[in-house]
Amino acid sequence: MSQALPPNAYERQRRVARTLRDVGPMAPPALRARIEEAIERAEQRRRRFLSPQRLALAGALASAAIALAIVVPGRDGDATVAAAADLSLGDMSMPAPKPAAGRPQLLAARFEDVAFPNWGHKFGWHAVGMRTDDVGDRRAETVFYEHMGHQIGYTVVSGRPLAPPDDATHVSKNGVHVLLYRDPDGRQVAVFRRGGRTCVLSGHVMSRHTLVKLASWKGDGAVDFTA
Amino acid sequence: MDATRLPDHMDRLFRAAYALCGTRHDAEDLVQETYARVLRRPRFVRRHGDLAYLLRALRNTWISLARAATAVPMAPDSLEFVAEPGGDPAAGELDARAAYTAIFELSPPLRDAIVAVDVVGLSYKEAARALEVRSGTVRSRLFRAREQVAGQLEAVSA
Repeated sequence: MSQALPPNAYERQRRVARTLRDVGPMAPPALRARIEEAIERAEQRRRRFLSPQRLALAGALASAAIALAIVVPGRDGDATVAAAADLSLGDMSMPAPKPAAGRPQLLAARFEDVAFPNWGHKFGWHAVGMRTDDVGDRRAETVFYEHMGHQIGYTVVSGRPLAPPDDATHVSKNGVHVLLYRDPDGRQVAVFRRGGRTCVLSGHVMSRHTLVKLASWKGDGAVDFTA
Repeated sequence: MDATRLPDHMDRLFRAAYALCGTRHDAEDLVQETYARVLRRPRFVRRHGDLAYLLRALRNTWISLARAATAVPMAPDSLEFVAEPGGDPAAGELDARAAYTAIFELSPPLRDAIVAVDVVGLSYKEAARALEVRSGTVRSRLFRAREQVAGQLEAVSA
C-alpha cells in the first residue's frame, strides 16, 4: 500500500531534525555536579581495585574507604572556584614547562593526571611560567600563558570537583561543558572538568569566547589530556 | 567504557530523558539513576559506542521505573533551552519547546526513534542497535515521527 507524501515533506522533515539538533535543554548544573561526583567516586573505587599494592587488602580497605566517603561528607575547607581563579593573579614561581617530548600539543607538566596544553603553536598563547598553591585543603597547580600582552592562568585543582558558581553561563563545545562568569575585578573565568578535576582558566581577555576556545580545544580529538 | 567520557554525553542524555518523561524533575531522576546503574556495572563498549549504550541504559531504566505508566502531560517549566554553538539561529526556542511537547505525545515506538536519531544524534545503524529493531524500521518510524512533530510545529507557527 503506497502512502502519498504530504507536500514539502522533505522540508518538513528537515525542519524537525534541524530544530532538535540545534536547540534543546541542557542538563541542570546541580544534576551535572551530582553525576560528576558519582563518576569520580566510581573512578576512585576502580583505581583502588586495580592497584597491585592494595589488591590484597581490597576487600576490607576499599569497603571502609567507600563507606567513609559515603557517610562522611568531604570537607572542601575554603576551596572554591573563585579562590582557584584568583591564583592567576599570583606571581610565577617556576619557569614555563617545555613542550612534552613527542607530544607537541601538550606541555611537560601534569598535575593529578591532567596534562597542561601547549597552545603556542595553535593559538599563540605561550606558557610563560607556573606556580603551585594550596586552595583550602586542596593542592592546585597553575600554568601562566601570554599572548599579545594578555595573560591568563590555567589552574588544575586536586580532588573531587568543586561546585560551580550559581550564576555562571553554560556553553558546550567539542564535548566540553564550560561554565563562564566574570569576577568582581572584571576578569573572565571559565570552569570545566578534565579527568575528574576542576580546571579554571581566568584572566583579562578581549572575549570570553577565547577562554571557551582554549578550554574546548582537543586538536580535533587528537589530544588526550589524561592519557 | 571510559568513565572520564561519561560527562560529555550528559546534555544529550538529559534531552532524551526530558523527551521521554516530560518534566524536568523526572528527567533529572532518570538521568541520575541511569548513570548510577551504568557506574555500578560498567561494560566494555566499543569506542564511539558510548552514546548508544547510554541511550539503551536510559530507556531500560525508564521502562523499569514505570515512568511510562504514570506519565502526565508535559507541563511548561523553567528549563532553559540553549542553542548549540554554530546551530541554526532560525531554529528557535519556541519551535524546540513545541517539538519536545509533540515528541512526548507520540506513540512509544515513534518517540524512541526520533529521540535516538534527532535528539541524541545516533546514526540509523546505532539507533537500530540501541532500540533492538531493524535499521529500516528506524527510518520508517522516524519519518512518521517527524511528520507528526512537523504538524505540531506548523500549528504553533500558524
